[in-house]
Amino acid sequence: MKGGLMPNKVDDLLQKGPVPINIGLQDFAASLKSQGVEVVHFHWTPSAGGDETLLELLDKLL
Amino acid sequence: MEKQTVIGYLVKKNEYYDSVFLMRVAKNLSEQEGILDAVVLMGTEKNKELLADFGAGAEEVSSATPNDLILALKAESRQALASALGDIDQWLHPAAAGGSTFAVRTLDEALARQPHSNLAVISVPGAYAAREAKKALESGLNVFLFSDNVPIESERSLKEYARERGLIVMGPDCGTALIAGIGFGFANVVRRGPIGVIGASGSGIQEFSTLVHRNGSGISHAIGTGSRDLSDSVGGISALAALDGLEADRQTQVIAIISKPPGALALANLVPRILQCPKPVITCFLGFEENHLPAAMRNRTARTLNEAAALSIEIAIGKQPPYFKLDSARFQELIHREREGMKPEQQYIRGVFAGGTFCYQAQQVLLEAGIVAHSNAPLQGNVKLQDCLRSAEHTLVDMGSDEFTVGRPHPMIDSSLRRERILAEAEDPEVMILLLDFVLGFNSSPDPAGELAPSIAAAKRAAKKRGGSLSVVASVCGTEEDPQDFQQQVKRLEDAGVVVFPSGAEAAQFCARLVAGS
Repeated sequence: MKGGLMPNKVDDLLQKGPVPINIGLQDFAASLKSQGVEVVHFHWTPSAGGDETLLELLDKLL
Repeated sequence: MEKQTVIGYLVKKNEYYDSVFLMRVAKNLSEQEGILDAVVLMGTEKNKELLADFGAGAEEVSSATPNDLILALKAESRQALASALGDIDQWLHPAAAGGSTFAVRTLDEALARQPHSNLAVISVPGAYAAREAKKALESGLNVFLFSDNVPIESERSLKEYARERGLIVMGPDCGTALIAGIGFGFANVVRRGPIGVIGASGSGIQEFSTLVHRNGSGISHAIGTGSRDLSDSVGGISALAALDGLEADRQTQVIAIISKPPGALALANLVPRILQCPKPVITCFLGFEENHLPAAMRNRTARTLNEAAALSIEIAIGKQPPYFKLDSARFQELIHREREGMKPEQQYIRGVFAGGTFCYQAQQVLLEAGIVAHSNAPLQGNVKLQDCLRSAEHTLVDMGSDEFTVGRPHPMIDSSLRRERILAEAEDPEVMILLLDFVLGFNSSPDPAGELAPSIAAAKRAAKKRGGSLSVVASVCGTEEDPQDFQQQVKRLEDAGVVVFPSGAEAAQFCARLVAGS
């Protein structure tokens, strides 16, 4: 079923194992670390102060 | 002198924290001397509405933004309030030892620090989740999307985008994954082995993988797809990508697919792919009529997660482990014991579940025994609960569904709503059985049995006071390697008078027999 020209990154994930970036709950980063996994934790905050209208506008501009 | 309640607020501008962290801060604050109640939230519109119930109407609260932290406390005295608020930084900024030294502020920074990253684990609030997932996919990362409340149109477009680039989106609303032995979200510590699993629900993957582990086999990878992947709106894009991945994976010898009934279109995509797969594929579509599957698939179809685990192990190792055989004599003895002291009006089962699949599977088991139930997430043949807060006759409630979790942590993390529900059910003299699930593993409550044991004891006392007897039946999903200690959790429940079964299916089967009386 596989086709296309793109390298399959799902196979890469399963064969090499996960190298994760954690975005959100810091407990998730802690539980990965407790399993011996190298993880970078992205301390996420709502962009545009959480203003939905402004965010949609930014999405269109970027 | 009559005690006065003092209410105080504190707004910290531009200090963002996640909901699970804030739940812990609120719990710590509410345990301080003289504090009656503590609410700690980010200033979203929904949260500010919740604070209105608390009696908070201060100007600085109403002008807070989603980036501002709001603390609202009820205290016995001004001193208690001042003391708790004065100590707030020790809870918000605990000693650096626990803090992440690898924290960054943007995805680009994260990628610069770890250029060989291959997975983004996203658990931001639902309104922002699709945006972050898209950015991660654009950067060539697979995505584990824990966030829920993501619109289905966004889900489909994210998954189509991922498919074009050879990536997978696990989720949204993906509770669990195990990739090469590493657990994401709510996952258990299970050994690696020959069985790969694709699951639409986190609790389904947890039950299946722990049953496989406790019966001596192991999991190569467990890939979550999110609860709606096999709906016709999404078409099973992630399930198909996962099937490709597990087919190519050398360690995987058997593949299990666990889901609610797929949509007709999704099934039409999936069936030919399963039939074409050179590895044996077991399907467990809870609540699904097997005769809708082609004959070639029926001998590899399981009705419950127990059966799915047993069948997978049997194919992988060539024989069925003895564990899965139901002990009929034990059932009979327990039925006799549990029915003792019950009053004739006690006739209904009330299931209060943390895991959606446990709720769904229990409905299927009960329906097969002729018991129709009400639920907020009803299986076909059951009745939709009119008000999810009030049970009627036989009722099985999924406390992890959206109506209970908006703005608060999942019941596997925060037991407070389940505690309240158990006590509410215990007030109904017609209740015969409380059916519960306890889910262990990473990121779940550190002591789920301990958190509910006092409410269970109170529920039993309430029934006794009315001259009856309440049976409490539960299953514990976990392994001896989990952070909570499986045996200790089982013992805690048994000490509280709970009948504990090793699987959700058996717990539900027992309830059906207990109602029938034999």
